[in-house]
Amino acid sequence: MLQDGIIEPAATALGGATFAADAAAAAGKISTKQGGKLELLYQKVAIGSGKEANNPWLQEMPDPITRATWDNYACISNTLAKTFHEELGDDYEINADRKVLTIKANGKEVKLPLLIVPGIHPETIAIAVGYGRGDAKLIGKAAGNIGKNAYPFVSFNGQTFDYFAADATATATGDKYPVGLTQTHNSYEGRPIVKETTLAEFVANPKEVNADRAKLHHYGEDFAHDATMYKDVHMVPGNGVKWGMSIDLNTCFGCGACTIACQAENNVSVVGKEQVIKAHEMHWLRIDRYFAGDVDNPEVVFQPMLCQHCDNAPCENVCPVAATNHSSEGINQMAYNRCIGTRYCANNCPYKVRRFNWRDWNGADSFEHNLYDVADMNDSLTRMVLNPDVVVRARGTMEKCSFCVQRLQDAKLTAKKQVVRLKMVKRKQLVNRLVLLTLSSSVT
Amino acid sequence: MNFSIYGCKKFVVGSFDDEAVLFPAVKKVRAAGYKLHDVYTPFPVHGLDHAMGLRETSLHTAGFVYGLTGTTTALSVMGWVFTTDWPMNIGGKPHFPLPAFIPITFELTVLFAAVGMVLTFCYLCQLAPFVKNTFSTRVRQTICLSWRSK
Amino acid sequence: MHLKYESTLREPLVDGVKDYHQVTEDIISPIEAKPGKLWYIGFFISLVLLGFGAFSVFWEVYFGTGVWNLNKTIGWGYDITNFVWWVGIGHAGTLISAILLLFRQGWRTGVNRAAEAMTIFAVMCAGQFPIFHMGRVWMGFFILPYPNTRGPVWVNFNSPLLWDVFAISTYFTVSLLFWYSGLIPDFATVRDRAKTKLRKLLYGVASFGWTGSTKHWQRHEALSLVLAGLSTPLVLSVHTIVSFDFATSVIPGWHTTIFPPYFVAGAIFSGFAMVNTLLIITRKILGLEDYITIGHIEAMNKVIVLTGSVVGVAYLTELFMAWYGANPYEFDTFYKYRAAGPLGWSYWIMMSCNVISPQVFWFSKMRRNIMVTFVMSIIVNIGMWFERFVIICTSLYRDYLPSSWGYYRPSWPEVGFYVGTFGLFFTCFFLFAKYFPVIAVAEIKSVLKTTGKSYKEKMGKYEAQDVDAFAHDQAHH
Ligand code: SF4
Ligand code: SF4
Repeated sequence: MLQDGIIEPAATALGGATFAADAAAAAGKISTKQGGKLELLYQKVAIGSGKEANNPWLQEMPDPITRATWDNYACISNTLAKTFHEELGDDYEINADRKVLTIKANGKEVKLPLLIVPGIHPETIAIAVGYGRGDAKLIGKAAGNIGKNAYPFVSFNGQTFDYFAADATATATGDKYPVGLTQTHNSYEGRPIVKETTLAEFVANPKEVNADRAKLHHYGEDFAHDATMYKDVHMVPGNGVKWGMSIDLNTCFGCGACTIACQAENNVSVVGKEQVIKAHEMHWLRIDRYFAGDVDNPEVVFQPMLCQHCDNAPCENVCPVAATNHSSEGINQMAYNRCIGTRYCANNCPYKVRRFNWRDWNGADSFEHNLYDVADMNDSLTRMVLNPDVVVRARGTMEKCSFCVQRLQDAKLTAKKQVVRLKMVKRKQLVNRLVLLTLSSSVT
Repeated sequence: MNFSIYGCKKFVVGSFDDEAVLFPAVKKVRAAGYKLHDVYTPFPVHGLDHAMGLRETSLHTAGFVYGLTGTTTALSVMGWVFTTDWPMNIGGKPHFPLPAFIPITFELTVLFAAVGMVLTFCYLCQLAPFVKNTFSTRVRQTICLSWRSK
Repeated sequence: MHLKYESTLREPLVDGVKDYHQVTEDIISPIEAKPGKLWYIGFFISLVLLGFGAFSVFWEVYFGTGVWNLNKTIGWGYDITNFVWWVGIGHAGTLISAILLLFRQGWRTGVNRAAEAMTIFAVMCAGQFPIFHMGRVWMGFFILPYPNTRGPVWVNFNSPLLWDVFAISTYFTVSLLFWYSGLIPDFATVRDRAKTKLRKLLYGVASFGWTGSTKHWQRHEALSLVLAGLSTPLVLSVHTIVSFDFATSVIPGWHTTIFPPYFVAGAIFSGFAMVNTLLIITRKILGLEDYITIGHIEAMNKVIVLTGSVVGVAYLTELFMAWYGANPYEFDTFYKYRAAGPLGWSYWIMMSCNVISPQVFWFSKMRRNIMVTFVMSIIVNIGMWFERFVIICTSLYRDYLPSSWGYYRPSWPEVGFYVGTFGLFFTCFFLFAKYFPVIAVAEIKSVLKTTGKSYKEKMGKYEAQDVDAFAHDQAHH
């Protein structure tokens, strides 16, 4: 079975053309055709039919399932990959170079790198459309010279367009081509990072999910308070606001919209494919995707990952210049212009959410001619997308999720003005109010 | 050699090849009631200071005092900065995290002691770059008894 | 009172027939002669390496740390590996001069000067890495706690990296003072012998107007002893603090209490190996075989086999604790991603170079073989480089969240930077070998009569003497 994440957007988003078959039906066809593979065309969540191809944010948004950026490629299964002597494993993870396949169907052919997607049907090859738009001079810097055009494979069956071809063949070319993935390891290795259960199991035994916490009991009643050396010296209850964020992992289906929203709000830089390959991407908020269970038919879990604003933050202890420290409202804050860029905090962050400005992405640096701008993000027009409430960060500094501190401040100020007018809001109510105001201000 | 400077004082300069000859000479000169001005040697001759009747140096004590200064400086500056001048919440640690202060306190103790002692040593011995002091100038100025290597 | 006699059973520290004058001649005359062809070639190569290093650093500073292959997962790679490696090498000198002075190990006199020089140059090389690994070096002064008008903004005294700043700069300063205070009398000897005006002037300036007065010697000895006393805990503290960079963090494979002793042993191990490498070359080129004897080299090889074994025990302890500690993350780091996994090869290079190969030094034949020693000293330093690489990179590349796992290969500016520090080190060392007395002349002279070969041969009468009579004689010297 194809993963839902790949098929669904394609099926729903391809406006006029009816997607002729769901994967099961398509796969049914193959069994009658010896040797041929089913080639499926789909639209990526970010790029769509290709009309978003010139948006660098969306080009760099990792695909929900493959975690690939800036390219299209041939998604194939473990089984099919084995015929090309390629399999998931250390070598596959540590090298960005992927074997290039020649894919032929309907008398057309295209050369694309393969990516192994566990759970895809063994006889299926999936290719995203909307790439290969031509030269950068004609189409724009972001979309230009990226990927291959898969539209020639589309055929007309007399009534609708077929976004698949049932007699596809794939052969290895012997070439390699690098693809920029933001996540290379697929399994959470049985670690209690994501906990999965079915609704039925949960209803039957709701305590089981947190059964592993029993291990922590010898530290005391409440792990958070009893296991620390520091007895909550800074976190006196009732001492003002304390921010937190909750993310419903049951609801998240990994679309990545929040990644882009965060990027737009916080002036997060686009780094380009080369730098993604070097693992230099800047997303403050990323979506971790793990496969679990059977390799050929895995479950997929998504986990948005951002700074946890740890109470006893390991990143703060190690910063030699105190550029990152804790606000009285419980936020792990960064003073960018104090940062000297030792990257020690990033090493010591267990969630690996800190992002370093490896190059001058946005012209905030004082050195001339070293701007690293892959997609014309820095001319005076495109710079107008920058959010004036958020500073751009210079090369050599560390950055990370701030909990949108600019919005928190804004909400607090708004609240303060209203409190002054009403002159009678009790502290508890004030806190509630602040939460509401923050919500509303983020909507406006 | 026998020559006089500063008018009244008389200095005698002797040159020795080996400490085995020097030690008895020092003993005899002192026993004969002469004041021994100094002995210049190209390497430390152990026991010569005692033979000449010099008192122990108190450079060690100075070093100890400098070290203590370092300790106090470190602890008080760090304590003042973190508790009074600009208290910050860093990783939820207390404002006076003594264990975390120990490395720097130790280093400053050593640094103050070492630098202080070397400067004191240079001051006491009047050592500095561009101080001119070759053997012949020394002899001409004050020397009474000396021994040098060739 | 200094004992004028040492058992003939002990190996002489100075070979050949020497008097005081001959010692001066042997050690000082290379300074006065024109350097040989080999020296010029070596010096030139060092300068080229240094230049390439400078270019690599320029490239990185100008275009950003991104020209290195570090990434969101592995924030430290070659830079901090090399830092720790050089600092480790920089431990032997002070150890030899300080700890061995306190333990009254006479054999240190032949090698301490060069070893201390090596310490200073190694620490200079080490210092380059934390400086230039910063994303914004030009803001590097933020790391100093100085009163300012920005708030006031102070540094974070909790950060091990700040402790490092204090530890490394203190260590450098104290080593430099110790070394230089020892050099002053020897510079004075060069000055007093100088035939040319320029030499007289330069060594006159360098010798600070040293006279050799007995009172000054007395203070000098006191100073040396106290500096040695201070340097002993200092040298142990430096690598302890460097190990805190890792030990106080939360990353599996870093967060271990075993690090301080393990790092110190490793530092001595690599430092002694480097001393061996350099001294074997120096004694050959400058013809100082009488002063840096096989006995010296053997003594250092003994330290190497001891510390190598300590390090080996530490490696095994780590593995044991990773299992016994029942922390699944630590277990995975050690057993799955360090001893195996894509970077596993580095672990096995480390193991074979550091633990297995030094065991040849259990055999006296091997310890006294110059060629074996030379090759081993280089193997040990390769092994110790990989130890730091293993600790830093194999802990970081696969830590808590598998989604962020990555890989690391150095880029050319990273390698260039490393190569450049070799240039810096050897440029300094060549200049030192040419213009400085590479052996402490004054110290050798003060032990010559007890430990010189030609003098020891005349000790027969003391050997025959009754113990009480000998003690009596000595006391009334
Ligand atoms: S949390 Fe982010 S990735 Fe998940 S559904 Fe919401 S917007 Fe999409
Ligand atoms: S950066 Fe990492 S360590 Fe620091 S507060 Fe955020 S999640 Fe915690």
